Amino acid sequence: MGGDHIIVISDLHISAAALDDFDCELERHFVSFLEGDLALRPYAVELVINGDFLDFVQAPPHSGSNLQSQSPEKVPLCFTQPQSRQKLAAIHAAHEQTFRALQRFLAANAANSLVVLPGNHDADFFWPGVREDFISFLCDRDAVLAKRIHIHLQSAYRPNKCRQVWIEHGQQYDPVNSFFVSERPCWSEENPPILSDGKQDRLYACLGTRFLIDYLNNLDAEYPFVDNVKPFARFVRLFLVSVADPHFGPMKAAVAGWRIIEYLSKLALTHPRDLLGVEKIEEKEKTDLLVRLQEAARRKDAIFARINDAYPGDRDLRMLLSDPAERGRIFEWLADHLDFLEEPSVKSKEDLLGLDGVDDSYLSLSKGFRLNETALLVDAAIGLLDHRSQEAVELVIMGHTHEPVEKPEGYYNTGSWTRYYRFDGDVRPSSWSILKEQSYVNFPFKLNYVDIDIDHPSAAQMICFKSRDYD
Amino acid sequence: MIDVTLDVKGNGGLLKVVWRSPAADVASYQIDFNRLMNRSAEVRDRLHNLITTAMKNRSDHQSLRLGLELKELARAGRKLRDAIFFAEAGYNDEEGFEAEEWLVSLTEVVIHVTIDRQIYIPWGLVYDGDPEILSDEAEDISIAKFSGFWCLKYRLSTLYNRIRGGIVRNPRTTGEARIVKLVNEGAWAKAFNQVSEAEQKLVAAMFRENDISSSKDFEKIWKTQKKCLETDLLYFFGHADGTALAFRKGDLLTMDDFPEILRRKPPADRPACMVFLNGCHTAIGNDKEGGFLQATAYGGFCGFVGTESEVPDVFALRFANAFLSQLLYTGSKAIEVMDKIRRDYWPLSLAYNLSCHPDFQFNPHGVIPPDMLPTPDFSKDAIGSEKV
Repeated sequence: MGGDHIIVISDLHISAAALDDFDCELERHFVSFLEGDLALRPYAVELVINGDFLDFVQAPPHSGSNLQSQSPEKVPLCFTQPQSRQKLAAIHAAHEQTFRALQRFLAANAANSLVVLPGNHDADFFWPGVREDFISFLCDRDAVLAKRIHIHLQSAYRPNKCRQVWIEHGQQYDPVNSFFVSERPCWSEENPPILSDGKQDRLYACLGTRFLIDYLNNLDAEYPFVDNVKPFARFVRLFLVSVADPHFGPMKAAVAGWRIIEYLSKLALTHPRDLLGVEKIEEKEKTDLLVRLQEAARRKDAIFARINDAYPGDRDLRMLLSDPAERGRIFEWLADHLDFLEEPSVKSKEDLLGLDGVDDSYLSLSKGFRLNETALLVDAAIGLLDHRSQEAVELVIMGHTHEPVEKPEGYYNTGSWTRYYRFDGDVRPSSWSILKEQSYVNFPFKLNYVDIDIDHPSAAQMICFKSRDYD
Repeated sequence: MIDVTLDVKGNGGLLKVVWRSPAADVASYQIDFNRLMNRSAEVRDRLHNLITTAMKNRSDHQSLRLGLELKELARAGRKLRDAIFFAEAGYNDEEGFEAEEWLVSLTEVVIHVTIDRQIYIPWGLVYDGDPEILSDEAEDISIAKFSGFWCLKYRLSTLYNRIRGGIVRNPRTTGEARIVKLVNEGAWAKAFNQVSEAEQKLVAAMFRENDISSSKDFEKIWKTQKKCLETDLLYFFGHADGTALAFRKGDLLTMDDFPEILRRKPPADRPACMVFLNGCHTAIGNDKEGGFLQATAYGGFCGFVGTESEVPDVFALRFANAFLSQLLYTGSKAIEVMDKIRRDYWPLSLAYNLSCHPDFQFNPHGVIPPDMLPTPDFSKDAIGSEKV
């Protein structure tokens, strides 16, 4: 492997069907990047796709109990190899254009090559059957072409001709999306994230994956941009504001917020490793949701009447909410039946929408819960670049957080090739309606890549191939 | 017997407390409202545990093993007591201490609490004495051991101070008594089918008129047909909370409906109407919206009997049957009946409080009472598997 230039991108999240974030416009730009830029360069290009190229977690089948299991040691697991292959087939069918463009990029120069690093959304590349299918989709039985595709199953990729470059997706530094079993990293060819549930092998399911399968995938169909709010810390905050403020988000989001809290609380008990420093979460969000439901009951809102009719049993929901023992069951039921929480429209009170004073880039659910994926990855990169480190690294490139970062020490984060939610300091986020379809104005994109001349890696640059800000 | 009045009036975050004997004001000081509310919440939380454990005991076919829960309730009741006597510094704080000393020095006392705003405190669950000397035996639930609860020790009753003393004069004869029964049919049927035939007969004798089982019917019969003018006792059985009663899912009688529906002219020729709200949490209310304390203090009403927590359905039905039959057929006053039934139905009876005029009564003269029920034994008898 090797080329005159190494081009690094990440986080395309190419999926299929309702939850696919890689829309026509983004695909058009990616094809143009491959065919109209990389394929035309007068030197060999090694294209490194640094994790989350494909999004298996959100590809069909994306929900259902058969997607999850656990090992005899209670390690949470998700997809089997046949399920991952089914997902890949769906992605290929939805994005043949992308696969053809990659093929043309490889065919344009006999020295062009493709390196794919799995990320937390496409850990499925650890399945041999998935790798075989992927290469077959790209090369169509062309063995020569196939040899120029390398799926790199180690946590970091260091190109042979440019060992001072360290390319890593970065999920292992993020407690929500890291892959560790019994404190050991399971992200390599020798120790892949694959375990048996007693009947068959399955992929390890990190917290983020479990959250998507358990909850978010169901919401994404209606709020297509909900999972574009990255990093996770900010995304959770968006939910939490919805719980407390009826003007900010619909009841549906409030219930979702509660579910997140429950999810994190339960995980803190059952899988403390997942949450590292996460301490027990306060009861506040539960109380906020309760108050919101009780107010809806008192106002005799249509939404409450609908929930009341549908809730199992012959008791009035308002009465049941008075009983602390019943509340948990009610919230669980609501979270499983979000359809009943549909509201015709959520009136936004603009002056109430700001997250002023809470958006310090850190997620602080409670005193002990602070999480900032971007900062965690920066810290990790700076550690690798430390001159005292034996790794002799001069350039670190990561992805994962969807936040582009450029540090003079030699760290780049390429952000993502999907739309993102603008969380700039001076922007006041809107209500949940912006997460619905046709809300492109709030979801610009910035398609970055890092271009490394292998003879001068220190002169690497992060370049924006295409961006759109709807302002 | 000495009648002591504890008069509590709101004043921002502070409540003014006045202890009165029939002769004079004994002590007056101010206490912190929030502290009182927090400690009340603790008491109700312990009461909830007591009820939940009782239901579990009976569903496991065990006798009631509630000694520890009662001790915990006593502990919380003791803390509530301290909040009542612990005056805010600078607000005649020594008078709180004096009031405490004075109350301890008395014997044979009955306490009437009168309040003037939305203060929902489980006064009857305040505990005198040291809960730490109570044993840790789960089986030991004798009433004598826990006689420090104010509802037992002082036969405590609570009254919204808008209700005047004279409104329960000239008791109605039992033969003329008009009782309107509002029911959640589902809840009623479930509980009713679990009591003995003798008890079902007693119920039939007490409630002679048709049940009302929807808010629409209640409004029609109560207002349009002027049933309100001739009712002596309004009884509800069903699911409830502190501010609403449920006839069925989606059909509620809420606090907002009460002024419109319940208001009536005070009758001149008969006592005010008493209300018995036999559902969960009916005595709790809240300091913002209020609760049934105000709702049952409109002209022509003399307050209500309610609950400080959830109650198991069969127990609730039987408690009310016993209470009402004693009230109708013995001529005893509400405070005396409550004291008797509380002892007979110990310890789950702690869930009930008397927030009505303590002297409300009927005159049973000339009425042949139906067969009265034997005192139940809830170590064996069903209490119900569902909360009402």
